[in-house]
Amino acid sequence: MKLLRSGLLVGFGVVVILPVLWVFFSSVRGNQEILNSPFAVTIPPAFDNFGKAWGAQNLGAAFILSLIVTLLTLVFLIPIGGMMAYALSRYQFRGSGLILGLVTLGMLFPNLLAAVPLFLMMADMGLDDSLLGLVMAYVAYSLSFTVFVLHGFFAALPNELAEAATIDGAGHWSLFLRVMVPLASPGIWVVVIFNVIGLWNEYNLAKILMLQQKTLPVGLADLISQQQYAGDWGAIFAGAVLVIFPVMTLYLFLKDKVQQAMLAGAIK
Amino acid sequence: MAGQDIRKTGFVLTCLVPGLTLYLWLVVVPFIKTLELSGYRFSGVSTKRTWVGFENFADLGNREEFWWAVRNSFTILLVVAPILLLMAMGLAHLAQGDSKGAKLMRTIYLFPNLISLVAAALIWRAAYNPSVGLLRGIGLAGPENGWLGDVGTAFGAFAVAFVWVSLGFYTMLYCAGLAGIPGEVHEACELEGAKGWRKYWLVTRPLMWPVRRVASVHVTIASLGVFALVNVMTEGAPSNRTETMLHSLYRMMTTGGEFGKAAAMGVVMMVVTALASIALWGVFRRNPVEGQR
Repeated sequence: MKLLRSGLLVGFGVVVILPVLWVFFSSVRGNQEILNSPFAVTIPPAFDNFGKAWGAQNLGAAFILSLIVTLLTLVFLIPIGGMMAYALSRYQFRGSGLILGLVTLGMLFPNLLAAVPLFLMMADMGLDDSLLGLVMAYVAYSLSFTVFVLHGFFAALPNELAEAATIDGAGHWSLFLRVMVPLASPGIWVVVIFNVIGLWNEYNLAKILMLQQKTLPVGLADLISQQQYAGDWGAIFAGAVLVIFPVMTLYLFLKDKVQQAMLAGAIK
Repeated sequence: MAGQDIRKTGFVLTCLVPGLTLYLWLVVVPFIKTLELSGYRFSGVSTKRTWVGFENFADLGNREEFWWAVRNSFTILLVVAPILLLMAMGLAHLAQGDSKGAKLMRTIYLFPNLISLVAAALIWRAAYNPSVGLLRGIGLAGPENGWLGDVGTAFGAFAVAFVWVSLGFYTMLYCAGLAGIPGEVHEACELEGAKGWRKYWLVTRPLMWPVRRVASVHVTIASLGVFALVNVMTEGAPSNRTETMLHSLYRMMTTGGEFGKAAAMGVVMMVVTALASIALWGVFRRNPVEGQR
């Protein structure tokens, strides 16, 4: 019984890890070798696949654009979402529940349901295919999760500390920035990690809004569909490694925090 | 007092206005505009719009690809997703606990959920490919055009990739739920002699109600939201066998240039999402365990 259990657990682990390893090993093999045999390990490894993916296939520019978009979005999203969540959770006023409900509702509907008007609005403003337009859309569509999670963290903070700080003469801003934000830092970790992963991987909105300037997932997807017939599989696998590797590194170093972040929307 | 009230109002407004403006402008307004645009025939930014009433909806109903998309999306929601949750519940029972091995396995299981769906789609597209495929390497080459290229096997092959991406997340979720069951409950079960299936149905399952509700909401959103996986893996081919509702919306908007019909598809999906949410609310209205929320 115990053996069966371990067998099943390890078996599924292999199913998860084998295809990923296969992509990593294949990313340093020549196209012909990949076509000849799917499994062999090539010695010495052919790192020129990465050069081809980065340069000739333009994934280098896409990698840098993705990096900029992810960081820029975070710089705006975390303060804006944090302030919203804080005001909605610590100040009672008419309509605060309604606003929270409206913002949370955004998690229910796939963002592409708004794709047609969103694209037209951006195009009207000349913000389609622009870094600024994409970052604005990313901040707007990431608010639901960010506010929902931070609202939970802020609401759970004890009242006594806030009262003590107010008696000591702290104003609204210094109470928020000096007392509440540090106390809610586990929640801020959660939304930063969740959004870093989500934004780095984001495909739907970038696919709709960016035509010439491509983020890494869009660039990789286009590479795959263009090379359907005479595919340079080596470069494609190298591209996959480029998109997987940063997230994998993050997971290796911050395993517990990443797991907590992924479950945060579900369990508090 | 008045000065304090003004300062407080000012603070709250400063906190809310930037986020709320962005959200209303770029999320709420486009969703509402989707309703309006579904009544027009038009194909892009500068072209003329013609009011056609419900013609776009009628047109959708006349298309074979629409019904394939509906059929596939509902199969994902009503067949694939329940199987996925059952597998996750089973796997969570096996992978629970604090042993090093179990923890390591859970860490590995979550990985496909963290990587870009484009990468996951690429992995499976390559794995199924009859000339480079991983599956060819282990003697599972499949039909002549590969598992994804055959009308009989394409949907199943897609479903395997979908499960591969999602299973770890739901397993983790259920593991967290199982870990939340207090030790006294397990001791009481032992004293009363409840174990195996009996314990699961009478004790574990009712106590897991909040987690099962969250998992059901999540899997519903994920099922109706399938886009990137299909877009990169198959683009709906062969013969619409892997087309989904969200992906057909995208195809109408881009390849077809039929913005009005894409908006109509958006409206159909809003209704489906709302109905699915109401159904879930009905199923999970009352917690079987009293006093638990």
